[in-house]
Amino acid sequence: MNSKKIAYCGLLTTVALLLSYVERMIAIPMIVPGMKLGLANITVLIALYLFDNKTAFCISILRILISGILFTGFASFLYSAAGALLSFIIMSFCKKRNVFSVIAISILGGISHNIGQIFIACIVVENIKLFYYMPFLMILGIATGFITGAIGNKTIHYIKHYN
Amino acid sequence: MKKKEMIFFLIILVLAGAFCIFHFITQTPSAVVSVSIDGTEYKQFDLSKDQYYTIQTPQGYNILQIQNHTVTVTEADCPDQICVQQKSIQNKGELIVCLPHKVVIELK
Repeated sequence: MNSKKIAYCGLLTTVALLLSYVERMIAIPMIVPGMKLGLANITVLIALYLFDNKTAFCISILRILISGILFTGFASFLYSAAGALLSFIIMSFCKKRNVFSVIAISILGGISHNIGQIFIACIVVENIKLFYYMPFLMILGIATGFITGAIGNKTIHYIKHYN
Repeated sequence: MKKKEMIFFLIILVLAGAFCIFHFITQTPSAVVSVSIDGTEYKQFDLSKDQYYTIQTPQGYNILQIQNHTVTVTEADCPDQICVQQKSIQNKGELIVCLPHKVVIELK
């Protein structure tokens, strides 16, 4: 752990927090309730590629914890945590395989984030019918995952090139 | 992105898209709205009667509005306000969910 890495981690966590704040202000027409762009996933993606699983995991958890305290409250914290955990597991697993591109990993992360959230929501309200939203969330997850993946891909190349 | 990945995601997109189209074609207007809190049914309403109703839960309240056979939540004291921002619902199977209050409003 050198000072450069510490600085990067702090920066990435801050950017992640900022992005989750910005994301709350962007009002997308509510096709599916509570849908978001998943911009904060960009930072997790970058950390996953620049550093290792452990670092990316810490950044992801820190972001959810702090944004839960600052902006959202406990209920939303639970759902974000479930989504982020599942999406992190899937993304780090796929990254290890070494056959997926950055954008594909981002899309898989987006989709699994949605699945994790719906799963926890179903448990909390004890109603399996929430899976009714799944196909809509699949489409949105692929779309937003592609956008964040493309941004992440460019950023990773840029940082690696100028380091 | 590689070609194989592109095809894989396209297949998912087409499947999900087909489901959505199927869903929009087959939807029928509903007549009864059922409200459940924490998994147990709380109350049922007839959609033909316009009214406001305050759903009182241990965590807070949601005000339900029934108007012209559509259902909306006009006000709630939950932190995320997702149920309030959601559009009105009118077809069978559609839901409004308030996760912090564990409220599910479902059309039957």
